[in-house]
Amino acid sequence: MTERTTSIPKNITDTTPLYNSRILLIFIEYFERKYPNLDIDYILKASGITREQIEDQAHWFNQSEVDAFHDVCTKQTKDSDLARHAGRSFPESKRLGPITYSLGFLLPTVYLQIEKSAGRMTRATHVEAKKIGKNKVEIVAVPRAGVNEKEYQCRNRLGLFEGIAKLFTGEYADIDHTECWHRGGRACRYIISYNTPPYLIWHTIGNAVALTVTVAMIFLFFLSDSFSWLHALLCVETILVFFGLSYFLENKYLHQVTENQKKTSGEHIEEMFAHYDNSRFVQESSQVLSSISETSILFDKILDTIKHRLEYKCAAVYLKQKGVFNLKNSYGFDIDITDLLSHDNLENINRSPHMNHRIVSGEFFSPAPIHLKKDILTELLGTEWTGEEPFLFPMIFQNETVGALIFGKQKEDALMTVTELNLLEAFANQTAIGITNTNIYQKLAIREKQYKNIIQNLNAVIYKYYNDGDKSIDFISQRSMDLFGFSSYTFTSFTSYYENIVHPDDRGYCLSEINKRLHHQSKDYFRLEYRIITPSTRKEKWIWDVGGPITENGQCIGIEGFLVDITERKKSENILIESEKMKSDFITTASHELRTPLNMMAVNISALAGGYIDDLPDEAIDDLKLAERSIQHMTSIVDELLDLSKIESHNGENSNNFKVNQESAQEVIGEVISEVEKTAHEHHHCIKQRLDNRLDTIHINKTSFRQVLINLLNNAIKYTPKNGGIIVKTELKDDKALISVIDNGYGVPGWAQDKIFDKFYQADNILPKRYGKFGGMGIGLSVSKVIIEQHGGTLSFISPITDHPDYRFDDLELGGDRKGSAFIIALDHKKRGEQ
Amino acid sequence: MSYTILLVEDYDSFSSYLNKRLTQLGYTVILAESGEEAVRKTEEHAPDLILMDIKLPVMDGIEACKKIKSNKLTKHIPLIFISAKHQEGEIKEGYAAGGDNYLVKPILFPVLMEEINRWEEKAKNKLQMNG
Repeated sequence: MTERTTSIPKNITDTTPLYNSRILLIFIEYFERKYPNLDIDYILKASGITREQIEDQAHWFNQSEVDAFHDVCTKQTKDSDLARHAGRSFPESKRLGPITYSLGFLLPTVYLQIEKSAGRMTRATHVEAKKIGKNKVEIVAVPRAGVNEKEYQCRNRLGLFEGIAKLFTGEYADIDHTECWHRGGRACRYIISYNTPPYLIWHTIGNAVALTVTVAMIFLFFLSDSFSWLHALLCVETILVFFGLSYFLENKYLHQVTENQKKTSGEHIEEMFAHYDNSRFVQESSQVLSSISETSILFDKILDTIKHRLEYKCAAVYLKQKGVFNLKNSYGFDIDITDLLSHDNLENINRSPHMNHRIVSGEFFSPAPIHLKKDILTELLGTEWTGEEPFLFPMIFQNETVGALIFGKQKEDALMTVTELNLLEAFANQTAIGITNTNIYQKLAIREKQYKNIIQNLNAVIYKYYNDGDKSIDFISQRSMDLFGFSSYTFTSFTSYYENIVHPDDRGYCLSEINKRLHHQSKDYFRLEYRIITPSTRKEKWIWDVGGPITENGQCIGIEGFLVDITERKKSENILIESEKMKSDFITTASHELRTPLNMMAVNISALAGGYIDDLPDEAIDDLKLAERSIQHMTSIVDELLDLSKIESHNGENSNNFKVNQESAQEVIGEVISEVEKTAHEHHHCIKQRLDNRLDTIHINKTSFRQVLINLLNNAIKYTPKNGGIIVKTELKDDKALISVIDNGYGVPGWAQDKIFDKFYQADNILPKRYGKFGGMGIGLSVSKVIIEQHGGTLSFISPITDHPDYRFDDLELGGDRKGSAFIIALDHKKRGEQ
Repeated sequence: MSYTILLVEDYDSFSSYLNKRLTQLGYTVILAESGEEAVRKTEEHAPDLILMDIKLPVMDGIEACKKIKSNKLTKHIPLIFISAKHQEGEIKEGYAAGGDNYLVKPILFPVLMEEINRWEEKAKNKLQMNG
């Protein structure tokens, strides 16, 4: 620590370290209290001073540094007597205040001590102090040779001397600056007058009197014969009176001090009131902001509040819409500020010193206000800014920039106090919430209107009822009047709906489904179709009732859903069912009717061909046999047509006949094989089974599936030269049930492989004539494919099978015409009990 | 007495043709055109075999079969359906009603004869065993 050995430097210049860092620290602390929004880092940087230098009490600054610092500070605060004001605030300094106590406890002493203590603060001046009268001190400061002291430094001293007295008396000292070095004087001379605390006088008098009386009493006691106890009593009384008086006066002084404190407290209370007013203002404004439901009114209100309640010279409100800040309202600006917060301008503001990139893509990262300096504004607007430098307050809600508020203060006090800044920040915050709320409210209002429209125009009744005994209604849309002839006024509970309106025959089924939900047996939505009898017109209507339980903490608290009048749909559905039935009946009838004459022909011809009548020539018998085969062919065409139309109607909506069940694979295959065995024998084929034990059941519609399997086996029988082999194989592979029919027949030539599932594509088109004629309409495989697809499975084939490890069997001899083929049905495998 | 066949068929051409053929072959043929008539004639004549169509006026073949098969006196008579109804369900229905066999139209005369002969043989064997 060098401070105690303050040496006076020789050959002083502007670069000689002269001023202790404490002097500048007084300024900084003063700013922190008075101008919280002042950018101190900027001031230091602009003055070429670092934080570390300021904080180091062993650091000394030179004249140039101090001048630059003062210059920057004055510009920033616009306080032309800044040095004096900062000096006055010295005793309030948190870090330096305690120094004053080391200066001495009694006021005159403090001033007289300055002579010595000044050395700790400055090496630039020689200071002398002397008492020149009662409560009067003269301090003379002379800048040392070579010191280029500026007048503000004299003002700083003045402020400092003023402030010291306040520390003791509660009032600034009265200073007569009789001579000034800066105005031609030889030195700066300060005549300082201050009030003495009166109790000190009386305390002294009291002590003096007590001493005098005591001495007199002792003297009289020993030297005078006439001294009696009465005199002694008088003396004691005198002492007591004076002590009492001085006690009284001391009390009076303390009372005064208390009054002073009261005064200070009063100031604090006033400040508190100001805070209270501010918070009231924030509260009121937030109430106003939150009660407004239209943004345009909101902006008027914001500006109105700023103008009349906060009395700012100018203000503007910008709203961020689709990433762009749009000016919504403003007052007090002489020039056009519409584009003040354009994208480019925000970038510029962001680039300006000390912004620390607070704005990225139009988003503000902090709600802290931004001081829009004159030069920035001029640059941004392209016109010279002549007004006051306003503040920009970002409006941020939930980390999203909603907009920005701009306030310009009254001229006389360009900087804002911490209270004001906090207040405005809170106001901006409230406004952001207000705008967000208003937007949400507007959107909600629009949505609500849309929903209302939808509900009203929906050809359905939306309902919600409680899980209480009555199933009392929480909500039912007005549409109920049009649809059912009852409205929310006449319709109070769903119990009455189910008991009085729902058709008695359907009531039981409805209530059982609904009670499952109400009694927590099911959480699923229900889809009910039932009839109602409308209360007013006694008409029967079909209703589609879709709804589900509303649960809260796992409990069903009600049911919500909608009712749709499906009477018309039901009618057309019935017509459709009817027409489907008619179609089916027609096919059956047609098939029957076609079979009747075919039957006649078959019986006739077969009787003739069978030799049951007369002996016919062999030629005639051959012809008749041909006719007999044609009849059989025609019969199979009729059968195929019937199958096809049945399958096609299954593909429609009314495929109620198509139900799948778990069936034993072994059983189904056994049945089918026994059915075709006879035909196979006729062709001298041998049918074998290779069944996978793991595949016990298959999920099929037995009738359709059998039809497919018979078709595949018949094909295998038909398209395999005599003495062929046919294998029915099952396999469980990758959760698939594979059922294949494998033969060592003619196979499917490569060029026809993509055609064989086409409807009406006949084997006769594929296989060479020498294999013979096979007949059939070519529907079998396409029908089979459709049926397997109805099962959710696939039907595919492999041909030739010569090289296929899965379908090549030693007992299926291949070669020559025997290319072999495998038709594979693949179904999803579901274990027993799985649905 | 020759083997008596009750032929129940509403399609004249078919029934008269079969009548002619079967009579020629030495069978006694009784004709019926409806289910109701079939039941009555079965009770009256107690034929050895009944060939019955299903699609019949008034009472269909299934119904008639049920009646015949529920009558103690007639239930032993073999009843063969000859019908154009060829779907699995329809065939099953025929067996469920008590039919002893089911032939799908169009039928070939030799197949029919094979069937008649089979039942005739059966009856003869039974007679011989009883006799």
